Amino acid sequence: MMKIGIISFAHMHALSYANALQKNSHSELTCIWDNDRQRGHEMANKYQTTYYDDLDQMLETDIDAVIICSENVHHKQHVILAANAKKHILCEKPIATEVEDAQEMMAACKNNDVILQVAFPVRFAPTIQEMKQIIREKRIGDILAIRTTNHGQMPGGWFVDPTLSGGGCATDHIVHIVDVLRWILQDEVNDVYAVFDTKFYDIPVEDCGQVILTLESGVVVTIDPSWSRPKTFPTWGDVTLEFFGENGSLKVDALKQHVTYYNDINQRIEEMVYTDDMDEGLINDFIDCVQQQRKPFITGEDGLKTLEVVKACYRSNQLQQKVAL
Amino acid sequence: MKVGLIGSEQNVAMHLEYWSTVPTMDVEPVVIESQEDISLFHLVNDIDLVDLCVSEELIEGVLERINSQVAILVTEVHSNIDKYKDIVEENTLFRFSTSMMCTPELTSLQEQIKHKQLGRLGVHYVSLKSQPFLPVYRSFSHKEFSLLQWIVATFGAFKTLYAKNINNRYITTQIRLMDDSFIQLELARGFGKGELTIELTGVAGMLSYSEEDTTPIQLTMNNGEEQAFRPLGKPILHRQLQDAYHCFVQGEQGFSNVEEINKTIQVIDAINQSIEQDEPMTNNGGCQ
Repeated sequence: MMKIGIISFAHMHALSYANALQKNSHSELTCIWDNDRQRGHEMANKYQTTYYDDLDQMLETDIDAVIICSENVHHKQHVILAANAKKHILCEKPIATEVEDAQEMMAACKNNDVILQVAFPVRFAPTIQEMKQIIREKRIGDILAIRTTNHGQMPGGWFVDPTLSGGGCATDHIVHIVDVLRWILQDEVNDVYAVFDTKFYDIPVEDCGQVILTLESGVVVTIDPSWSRPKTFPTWGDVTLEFFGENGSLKVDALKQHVTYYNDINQRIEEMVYTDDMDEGLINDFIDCVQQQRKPFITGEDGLKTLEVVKACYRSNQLQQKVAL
Repeated sequence: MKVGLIGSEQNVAMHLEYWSTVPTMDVEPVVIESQEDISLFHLVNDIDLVDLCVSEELIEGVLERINSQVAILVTEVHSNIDKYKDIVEENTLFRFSTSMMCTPELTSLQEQIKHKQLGRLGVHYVSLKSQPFLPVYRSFSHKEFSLLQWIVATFGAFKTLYAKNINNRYITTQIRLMDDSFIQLELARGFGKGELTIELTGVAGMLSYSEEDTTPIQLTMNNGEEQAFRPLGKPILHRQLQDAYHCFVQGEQGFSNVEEINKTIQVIDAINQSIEQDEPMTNNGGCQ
C-alpha cells in the first residue's frame, strides 16, 4: 500500500485528488499538511487522516509520495522540500510561477532521484484520448489550424492575488491546452501573440484574453482562456478543441457528455458530466508510475514547457507584439 | 412615393414580390440586362428611391446615369465596389443592405448589444463556416463581408487586429475593439456544412447562438441521410428590403450606411495587411 500525503488544500483540486486516493486500492491518504490550520483539520476529519501543522515533521514520516496543491507561488518551496525528503511528487499545475523556479524544482527532483509529475488531468479525459487517436490516425489529414477554449468561472480567493497565483486566467488555463496539444501533436510552440485584460471583475489579475500561437510545424492555434462564464452557466467552464485538417474538421468538447439538471432550488440549469473522472485517471497513473518506478506520463519538462508559453504570452501582452520562444 | 426597381428580369421579379406588399410605394420596374440597355436608360424624375439589383458588371454604368440626389439601395456588395466607391461616397443617400445584417438571429443579437444587456463587454467569438466559394470581395465571400459589416455595425471600429490565414481555408482574426473588448473571428472554408456560431460575453451575462443547436427540424431517412430545416418565415431578401424601407422612411441619416461599409472595407484591408506582414495592425493602418 502506497502512503501518500497532501500538501495544502489551497487548490480545490486537492479534494478531487483525495477522493481519488480513497478509491484506489493501492494507496492510502496518510497525512495532510496545510498552512491554514482550520482547513487542514477539517480535511483531516473529512478523510479520516492525520493533520500536521509542521511540514518538515510530515515529510519525516514514511510516506512514499506527496500531492502538492498549495498556492502556485509555493510550489517551488514545497517541491524542493519534498524532493529533499526523498518523496515522489505530483504537483498541481502550473508547475511554478517563474521558469527559473521550475528548473530548480526539476533539478532538486533529479538530484534526489524522485519522480516529479505535473497535474494535467485533461490528458486523462476519455474524449481527449479518443481525439488523440483520431488525430494520430490522420483521419482529417494534416492539421492546418486549431481553435481551443478553456473557459471558466472566476475562482476568486488566492487565484486573483498575483503574489500567490502569479497571474489570472492566463496562468490558470493556458497550460492545459498547451499541454494537450504538445502531447497529441508532438510539436512545440514557435511564437505567440496574446492580449489580456480585466473586463469582468474588479480584480488585480487578468480575467480574459485571446492568444494566437504558431507551432513549429506552422499549425496556428487560438486559445481563449477567459474566466468569462456567467454565474448562471450550467457548468464550471469548458475544454473545447476544434481541429481543421486538410480532409475535414474535428470538434471536441471534453465535458459534452452530461445529464441536464433543471435545478429549481438553485434557480439554474446544471450539467452533470458522467464520463470517467479525469482527476481519478491522473491519480491512478501517478500511483502506478511510483509503484512501477517508471518515467512519469507527464514530466516536469512538460510543466516547464507550458510555463514558458504562458510567460511568453504575458510578454507579448506587455510588448503588444508577437514573441518568439 | 415611388421606387425605381432596376435590375435583371429575374432580380426585378424577386424584388417586386416585396415592393408589391408596400401600399405606400409605387413601383417603376426597369429591366437592364446589358450595356446596351444602360445607354437607353433614363430614370424618371419623380423617383424617390432606387432599388438597384443589376448584375455586377453593369452596376457602375447604371450608377453613373442616376442623379446623385436620389436614394439608392443595393442588396449585395460587389467585388468591383472599389471602382464605384467614389460615386457611392458622393451620394449622401446610399445604403447597402446585405443579407446577414438582416437575419433574425443577428438582428436580435445586435439589439441586445445596442441595449447594453450584457453591460460592459468582454470577450467574444464569431465563427462562420462555409462551403468552398468563389471570393467576392478581396478573397471574402458575400456572407463573410456581410458578417464583417455586422461586426462593425454592432461593435464599432477596431483598435488593433491580428490575423492569420492558412491556405485561404482558415482565417482567424483577433480583433481588439475601441472599448478594449475582444472578438475572435473565425472564417473556415470548405469544412463541411455552413454554420454560424456566435458567443458574446459581458459583465451581466452571455449571449450564445449556434446555428447547429437551434435547428428546429431534422429529417432522418432510413438510410441514415439527414436533412436540416430552418424555416424563418419571411425570406431574407424580403427582410433586407423591409429594413431598408424602414430606414428610408425614417429619413436621410438613418438610411445611408456608406461609412459603415467603408469601415468594413478598412477591417478587410487590415486583415489582409496583417496576414501579409504577419504583424498586428492598428486602426490607423500601421503595424502595432
